[in-house]
Amino acid sequence: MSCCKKNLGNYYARPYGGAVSPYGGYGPVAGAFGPGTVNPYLTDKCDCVAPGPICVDSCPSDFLPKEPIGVGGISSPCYNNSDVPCGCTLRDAACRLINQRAIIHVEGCKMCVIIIAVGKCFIKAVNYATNKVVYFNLNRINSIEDVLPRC
Amino acid sequence: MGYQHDLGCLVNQKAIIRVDRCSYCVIIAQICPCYIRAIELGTGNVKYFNFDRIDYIEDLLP
Repeated sequence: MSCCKKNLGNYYARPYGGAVSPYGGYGPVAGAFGPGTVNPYLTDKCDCVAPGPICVDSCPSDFLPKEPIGVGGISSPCYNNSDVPCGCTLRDAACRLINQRAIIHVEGCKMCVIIIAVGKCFIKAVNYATNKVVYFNLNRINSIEDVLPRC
Repeated sequence: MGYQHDLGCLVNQKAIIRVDRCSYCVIIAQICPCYIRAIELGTGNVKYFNFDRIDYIEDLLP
């Protein structure tokens, strides 16, 4: 049960599109942003130009070297759902939730917020129950729950 | 990176993720280097679990 809203009715999936595929022509896959590549989801909203290692799917490259993600069927261990590109850190995931409702769990507590900015170490959010700005330490966050819009 | 290879078999499976004395029944959708993206069965919401805060993951066998 969400504290933001009762869980009645259907909910919509969050649309993610336009991911870059390293396989060319196979559609979006997990983790397509390498060093020097600008993440199209993040540049408008925060400074998360992905540095560091290229994120890969869940399969070892020697097991599934050249095949597009999803080969083997939906129950395959190598089917790492690829509708959303894999962020390298939890910060990347938080960047996608800017200006959206979310529930942030920290140390047994959870807070319904609207994420307004993501810094290097902190998430700036508004607790809309109290109308106060809260800064969450990214290293202390247990989980972030994306509150999907409902019918 | 090691997490992704070790836990790849849990993708699209039902699992219980234990975080800070709380258990979440989820379907794991994606294993990323620093977090797990999963759908919580009760709410249907997408949750991002920080790897550093996960105590354990319990695979629910059929």
